[in-house]
Amino acid sequence: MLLFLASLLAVPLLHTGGLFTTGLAPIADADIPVAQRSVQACAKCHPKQLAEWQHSRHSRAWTNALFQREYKQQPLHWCVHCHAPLQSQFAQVQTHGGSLADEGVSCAVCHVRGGKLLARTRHADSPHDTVVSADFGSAEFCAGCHQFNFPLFASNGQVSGYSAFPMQDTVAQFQRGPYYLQGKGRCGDCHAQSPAGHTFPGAHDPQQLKQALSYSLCRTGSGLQLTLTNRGAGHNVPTGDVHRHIVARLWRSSSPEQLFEISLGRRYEPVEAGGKRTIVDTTLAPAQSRTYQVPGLPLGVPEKSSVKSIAKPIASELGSGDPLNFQLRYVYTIDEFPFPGHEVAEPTYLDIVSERLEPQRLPMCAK
Amino acid sequence: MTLRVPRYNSRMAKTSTTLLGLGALVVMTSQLLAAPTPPAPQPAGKVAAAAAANTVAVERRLHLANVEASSFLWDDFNRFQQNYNPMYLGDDDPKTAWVEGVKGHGIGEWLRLKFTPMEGASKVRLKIRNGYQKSDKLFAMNSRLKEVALKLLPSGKTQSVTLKDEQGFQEIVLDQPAGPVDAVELKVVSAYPGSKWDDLTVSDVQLFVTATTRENPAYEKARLEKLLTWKSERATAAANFKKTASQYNPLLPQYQVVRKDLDSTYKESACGGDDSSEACGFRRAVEEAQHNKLVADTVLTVTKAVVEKNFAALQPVRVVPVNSQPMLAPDGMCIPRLNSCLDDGCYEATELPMADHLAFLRADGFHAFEEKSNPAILSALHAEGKECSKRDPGRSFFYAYRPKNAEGRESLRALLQIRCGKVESREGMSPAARAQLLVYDEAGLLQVVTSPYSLTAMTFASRAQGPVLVAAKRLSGGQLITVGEPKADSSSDTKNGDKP
Repeated sequence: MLLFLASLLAVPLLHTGGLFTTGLAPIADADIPVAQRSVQACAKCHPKQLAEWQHSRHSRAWTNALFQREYKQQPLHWCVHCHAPLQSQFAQVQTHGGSLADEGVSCAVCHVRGGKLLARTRHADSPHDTVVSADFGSAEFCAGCHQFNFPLFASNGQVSGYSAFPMQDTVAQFQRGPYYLQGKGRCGDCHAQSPAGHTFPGAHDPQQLKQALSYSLCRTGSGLQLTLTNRGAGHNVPTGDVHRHIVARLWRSSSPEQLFEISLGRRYEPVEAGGKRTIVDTTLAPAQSRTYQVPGLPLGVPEKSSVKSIAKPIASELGSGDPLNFQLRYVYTIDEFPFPGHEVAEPTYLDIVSERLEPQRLPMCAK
Repeated sequence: MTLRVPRYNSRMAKTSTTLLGLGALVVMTSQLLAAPTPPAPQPAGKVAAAAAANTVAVERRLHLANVEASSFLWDDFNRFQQNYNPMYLGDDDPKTAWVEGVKGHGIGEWLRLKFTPMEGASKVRLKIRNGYQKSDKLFAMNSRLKEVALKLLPSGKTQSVTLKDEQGFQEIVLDQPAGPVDAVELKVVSAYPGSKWDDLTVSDVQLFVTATTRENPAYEKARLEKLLTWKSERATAAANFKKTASQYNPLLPQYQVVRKDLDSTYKESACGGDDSSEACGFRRAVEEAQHNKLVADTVLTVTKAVVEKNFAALQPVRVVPVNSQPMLAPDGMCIPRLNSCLDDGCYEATELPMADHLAFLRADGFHAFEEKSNPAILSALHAEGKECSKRDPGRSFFYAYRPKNAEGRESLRALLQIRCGKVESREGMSPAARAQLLVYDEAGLLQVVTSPYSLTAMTFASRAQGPVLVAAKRLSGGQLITVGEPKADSSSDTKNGDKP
């Protein structure tokens, strides 16, 4: 035991906040032997971690269709530096891609710097000359790619720096939130809790979303009341990419024109000095609730016919037999339903809730 | 005649839905915790599986995307607006109707009702208000459907149905093996004759489709809103034309539209350098018009001079029209709006000035005074600054082009209008701008209305009271829209005799 402790103390500690280039350059990997840059090099000794990682969005950071659609429209080096961050991955991207680039945020992206392994702890039996850092996996560590301002562009069209206004504000939101202030400052406390800690579930994980966002529906007499709460996320919901938004909808299938719809997201406007800034933010901060009054129409009001003696109202269509649809949907793109020619080969949204309800069975709201 | 009406881009996701049981609803009030707790560890995400899973067929109402008709009655009983456009089938209003436009009872006439494409569709339920249900009297006076042949598209499944000769909704159910459906055709086989007129009429058709495609109520809601807006604007224009019938009006009350796809060899030139994207859009509109010889080179020369160098030749002005007669769009023409959700604010119509007054059809119809407080053109085009902070319809800013004529005097040859403001969007108020360049000939008559990627050429004819716009051609994205005076429908010997 003493030997183990001694081995831990023997390795240098490292602050990890500056390990990423904030998208302005690739991560140098010349000091990693070529054969060890791929995740396959880690597979033999870390199969569980690799198996989990293969199901993570990190493994698809470069190949996922949502990103690729955007990248094809504006193929900036800046994008590559976080979606396929290693220097050798960048080189592949510049020459029509390759398997290393396709690995996206791979093992080496987070775990290797200066030819040495980085980790939060080192097992006594580890053959690696590991640099141990308590900051590994901290908010500051993840901020390297998950916290940045709107970019500024040089005359060559590439990103040269950052404006004063956040584009992705996830880490700052987290640092203003209750978990961080309570000393729970690690992203992994929520996003690295799988057995081997490498699935990194987020907005593409249905369970993660359901645990982040809760809702309640109750009757107010003539209408409904919908309450949405960020009950589980340490940052805002939604967060991350600028286009992400959540839509809540209530409607009857027989009368879509009476749809009730609200959206949680952000809107932006250009800034004279370059970049953009957020002008509307309807995302939910940690622990924040917002209540919406839903008018009576979705509950089913018979059609008012202006020619009573002639037209039969279609009350039966809207009556109690016609269920109410409730949809709570996380949308990853600006276009929930892509226009022809802009289709994307993976879902543009994920339904957190998709229910058909009988409004009469909903409880009355507490006064 | 085939009628085409504005349509939406098809963007319905062809995926299916997971509908959880009613029992799955849990009112989660108890979960609204005072203090948040981190989520428990979770397995890896299964996004694709969740999104692709499904397939319970659900019946949903679909609003009309588009209606094609073999004919409809062009009737000028109220002098200005034909009221029997087949799109009225979708407005849920028994006071409006489609009326066929051939001699006799409309036997053999047809409708093609188009709607959002559905997958896994096994049933289409139609609810029809047969005849003209505006009143008991009109119902009896006009012909009604009796036997109809229905066909689902694209499956081609057919069914013959005999409708009752009664008011209110009648229901028809069409089944097909589960598959795609995106339209229903209705062909008239026989009719109940009207007591006074032989015009065959249908007031409304509602469509309910049982399909596995995910519901998109926002899309259907938008379809109906678009249709109702179109209807409202037509009513406003009709009322105004009627009110001012005895006065000179440079616009005709209606224009007939012919659409044509051009087999164009025009290739867009590159944009870049100091070009703003808006200036480039204008330039491309001019280039496409030049390629297709849409307008005289002299007019294009003026347009080019304005657009060059990011509109550097323009002076900011304040405009005051000489009279207050409003600009209202008759059939076949459109006034682009700030809040149009489509890139093309005048889909399948020609474009009128978005200035609010008819006076802008002539350069001497308004005074233009220097106005230094206007925002910079590019700033307004990008809807930047506090000048563009007003809600829809926003504010308009004008910029004039006044070169010297042959006599050495300045004359106004072009006017750029930029309307900018904030419009309601899914995620709150969002900045928006629309720009339009009006180019006048030396005599001061409007020759061209240009927007980014779109150019409309105007043709005026001399009439006793003054020039009247008798035709226009609009070129946009390889499509040519031509509007002109409607041909009188000699087959129409009947009038429905009642105002809408």
